[in-house]
Amino acid sequence: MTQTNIPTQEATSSLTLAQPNPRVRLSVQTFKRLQTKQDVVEAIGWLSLVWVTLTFLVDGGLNNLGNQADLLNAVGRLSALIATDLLLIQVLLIARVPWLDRLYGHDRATLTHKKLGKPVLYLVIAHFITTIWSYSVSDALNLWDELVTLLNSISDVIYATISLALMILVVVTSLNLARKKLPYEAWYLIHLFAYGAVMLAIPHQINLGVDIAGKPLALAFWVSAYLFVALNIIWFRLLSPIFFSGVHRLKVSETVLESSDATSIRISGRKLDSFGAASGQFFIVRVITWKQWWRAHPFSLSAAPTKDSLRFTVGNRGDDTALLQNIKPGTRVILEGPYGVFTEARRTKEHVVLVAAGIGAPPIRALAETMAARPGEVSIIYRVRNSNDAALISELREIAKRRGFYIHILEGSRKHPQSWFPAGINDQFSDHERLSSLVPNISDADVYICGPSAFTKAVERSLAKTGTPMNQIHTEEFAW
Amino acid sequence: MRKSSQVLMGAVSLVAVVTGVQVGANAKSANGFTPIPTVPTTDPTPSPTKTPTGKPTPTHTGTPTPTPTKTTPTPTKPPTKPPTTPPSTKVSHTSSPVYYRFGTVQLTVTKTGTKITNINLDQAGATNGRSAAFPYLVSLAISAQSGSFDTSMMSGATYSTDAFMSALNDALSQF
Repeated sequence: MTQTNIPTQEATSSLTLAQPNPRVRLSVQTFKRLQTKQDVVEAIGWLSLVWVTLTFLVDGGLNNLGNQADLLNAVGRLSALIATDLLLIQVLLIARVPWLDRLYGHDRATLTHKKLGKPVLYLVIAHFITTIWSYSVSDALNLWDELVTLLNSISDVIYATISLALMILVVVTSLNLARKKLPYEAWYLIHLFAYGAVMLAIPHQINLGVDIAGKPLALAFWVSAYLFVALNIIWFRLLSPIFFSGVHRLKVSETVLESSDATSIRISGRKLDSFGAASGQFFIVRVITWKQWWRAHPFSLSAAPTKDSLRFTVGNRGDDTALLQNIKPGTRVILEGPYGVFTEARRTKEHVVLVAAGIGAPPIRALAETMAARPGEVSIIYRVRNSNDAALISELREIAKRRGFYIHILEGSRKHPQSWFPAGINDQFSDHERLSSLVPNISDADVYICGPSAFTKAVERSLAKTGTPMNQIHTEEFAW
Repeated sequence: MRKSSQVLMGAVSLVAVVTGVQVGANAKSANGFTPIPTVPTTDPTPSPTKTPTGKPTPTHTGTPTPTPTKTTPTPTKPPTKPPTTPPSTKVSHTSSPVYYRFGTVQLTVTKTGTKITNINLDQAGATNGRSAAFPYLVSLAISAQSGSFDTSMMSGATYSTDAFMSALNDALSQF
């Protein structure tokens, strides 16, 4: 069933809304500048790989490849250099550093981090095997005896081997198959071992690494690369959140049950506008209680941020997001963020379509509140199973009513697994035809989509068929 | 990344790799597989000590090695003006090459006064596995300030350690 533009009586007329933004568009110049910055960052990453390869080559790494031991040794050296470089990039990508987040958004950074996981592990395993193999050829020992000899003689090799074991553990527990079976908390704790893996590998690189030991230039490069990544992590993930949360005196002020599977948490503090948060962004929220402090949650703002409060709405997906409902007002919180590029700053057109599904509603709700628009320029599409039990639905209706936005509530179960529309009266039409009939000018609008990744992909497929250009499509995936 | 940037990066990478390969190929002759005969020198001015290179010099078994000439240390350049405070003179002696199961070890010990200040590995040709031991042995020897020290941590590199020790003692015996 499709209900169109029907303001309901239940809508809360007491809702206070923030002033909409002044006109925001991503100009061509700003877009070009953004692209240039992205290119520079990517080029630096790429050039670091070229640099380590270059040092290997200049050092005569390719000489003597006729000899089996030297050939294996060369493969071991090169794979180690590239793996270490990629590993540092990978760690930086997940460090949620704001300067990377502003360029790519947290979800893209996280996806790239995930994609690098297996290749880095394969390279490290290749380095491990070829190096030991090379030594075993020189020493006329079998692989196992060679490993045992190395482990017995050089303690750095022991650390490096432990590091490899940890790396394997981290990657294996992150495979999709394992992620489904492991509780998030267990996965998270195991994933922290990755830091241990990175650090345990350092001694053998510095002391034994043919390409580092005794080479001041190479040593300087690697030390600065490690320091750069470490300082970014320590400042942005550890010190800065603690410091600013103290300065702003962040506390939970209330929790409200929004639907059977969503809860809103309001966090109050002083001078919260200095965070510079915008609708559509999210924070990493760490609630300081005995049970919760060690584990942080990504929460999307579900209302425009104000000077003295931030409201988040959370789906009760995980086992302990449910616990958050019972947080006592006054509990201290630490915020990391704001993160995300799912904001009006990326808007390019006059018309905007906001598409939410299920627990994707909070950022859409916040965007709707502040979106600069004249009546009729914004359409909201909200996909729900049951409109009586959908988070923030009355608020969205109220915003639509006051601002003159179109709102389409798509309710019910899907007509078939590939479709994102509910089964109903227009079943003979395909998804993109139904989408075009809801928003006729969609190919000339910015489309903001927030929902589960299968939903987001389905909407993107429909948008491609309606001819909406990729740079007008903005998505925020819960890439966790 | 934009197409144009990708092309640029591709070109830069290509140039880097080609240059690297060429320079690397020359590094072979520069590093040399044949030991460079070292002449012990007396250096009147303290100069930054050379750090031992971590990269082992690859060895070719059966390569004829010229015996390094041993000469009594004579200052090659007399100091132009006498230093106000006489610094302890630096004296270096090079060991004879020690051939052993995995390669050749030859080193130059530099003493400033009576102190061992530097040990340079002229040849550290352990086949790959054992070369890792040499930087450790160098630092152990310098901290022990003698040709005998505890090498129990090097237990997996017995041959290389033995070769290193005999080269070290050979060089020390020349002082």
